[in-house]
Amino acid sequence: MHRALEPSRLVIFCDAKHEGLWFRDLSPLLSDASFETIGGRGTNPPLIEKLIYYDRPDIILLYDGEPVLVLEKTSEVPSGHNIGQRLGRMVRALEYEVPAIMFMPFDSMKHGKFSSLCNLNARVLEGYLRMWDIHSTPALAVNWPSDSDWELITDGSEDDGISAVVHDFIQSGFDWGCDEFFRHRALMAEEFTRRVAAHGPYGRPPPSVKIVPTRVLAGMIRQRSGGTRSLPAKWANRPETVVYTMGMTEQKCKRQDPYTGMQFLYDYQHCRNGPDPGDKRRNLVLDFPKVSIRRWKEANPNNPRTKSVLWYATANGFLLSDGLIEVRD
Amino acid sequence: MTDEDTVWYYTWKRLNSAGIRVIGGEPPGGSSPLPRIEMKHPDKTAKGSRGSRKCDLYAVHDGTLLLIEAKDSHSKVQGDVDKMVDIIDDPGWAGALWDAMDERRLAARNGFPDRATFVRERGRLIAPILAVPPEPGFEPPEGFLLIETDEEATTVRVRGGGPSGHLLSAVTEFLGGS
Repeated sequence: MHRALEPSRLVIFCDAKHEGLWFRDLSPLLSDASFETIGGRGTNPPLIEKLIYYDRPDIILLYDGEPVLVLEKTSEVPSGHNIGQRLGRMVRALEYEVPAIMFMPFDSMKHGKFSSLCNLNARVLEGYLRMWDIHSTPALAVNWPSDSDWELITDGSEDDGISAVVHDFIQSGFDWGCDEFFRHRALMAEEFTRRVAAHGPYGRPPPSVKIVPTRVLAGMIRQRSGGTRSLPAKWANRPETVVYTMGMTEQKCKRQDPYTGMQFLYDYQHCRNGPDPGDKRRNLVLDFPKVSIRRWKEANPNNPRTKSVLWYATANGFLLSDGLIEVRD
Repeated sequence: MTDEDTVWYYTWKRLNSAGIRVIGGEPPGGSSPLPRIEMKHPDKTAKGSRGSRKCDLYAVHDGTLLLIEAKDSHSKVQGDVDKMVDIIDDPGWAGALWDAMDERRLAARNGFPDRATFVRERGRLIAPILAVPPEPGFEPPEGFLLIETDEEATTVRVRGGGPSGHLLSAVTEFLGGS
């Protein structure tokens, strides 16, 4: 895909104006782009509504009325579960075949009472590589660099890397095969390998995620439901199941972050083999041993007007304290 | 009309470009790419942000901490003027400002290693700045630097002075004379 660019046809949809201004400054080719603000659900053009269905990204770039790029920027270090809060919006872009870029620090100092250096949860790098392969659409993590004291750089030079990526993509006529995309893909792969070598657990699922034979899951379903439920027939076609256990209590189960985002990571790393959420080689079951079916439905309905809809985006079902909710085959 | 977000963004960017180090701040809608520096109320020891104060931007130049408040109109700045005067005049608030910077290791890193000195010398070490869209008829309060900015250009001036497009020299001169 290579086309003569007419910059006046570029529109930057942004969550906040300063984010749009920052994005526009990344490339001189964006200097004639116009701005629109991403509004609340139900107030945007249909294409934007689809892209924010899971969650709102910082930037959606349109060319000739078509989305060509989604970008999220955060100064928060994606250690532990933090990264989950922003994965849904990235995945949604890929589902609509829109390249997605996350600009974030890979390593930086966290401040406050317990100040320490925080490092990237390297699983997310493998997750992005898998997302790119599964959707055949670029999914990039670009590093926001830190200085020698691990403090985030904020003097403007921190944008050099992301600026090169965005500029090259636009200059190439939105070519998914542009040099910078593939250079950063290689960097992501190298970073993943290096970080797993330095910290072995990142090469395996975390303790909250178990890969079990599906017959074990069948036993769990029978036990939780008091023998009234059995394994859904189509789940049995997948010999293994990924069980992601969350210790939320009934009082505190009305929430999404960071779990709804992390389900995507584990899905792409260990389950998915195609672009549709039903395309899985392993089942993905979200396990809430302290929450009943009644309380779950009350707190987290499958309602497109609320963020709780994210719970239903990719898992096969929910295993609760008293039984099973089946979401998809 | 230039909105507050735009004033905030170009104040940050153009100070940086001029070689004036912006060390923290938060845009009008939150979600800051810069370190957030929030002063806890000097009389309050409990957790939480009630009664706390923060400025839109914090910069350092020539050994002075610049407090910067951005608004989309000069008619909205009085509350910010009062706040900044209070932070500088009140040793409790000045101390809270040093504590907030120190929590993020920004105090020593930017040349303010000693809390007692920072509080004692606060009139010399802290300077107030207002940032608004260009409004030729508006005179900033005495002792304040006024940044006027939109997407096209940024100038600075003091009360009774003319605008200058040379941010670095104008800020340096302001601090020398303040």
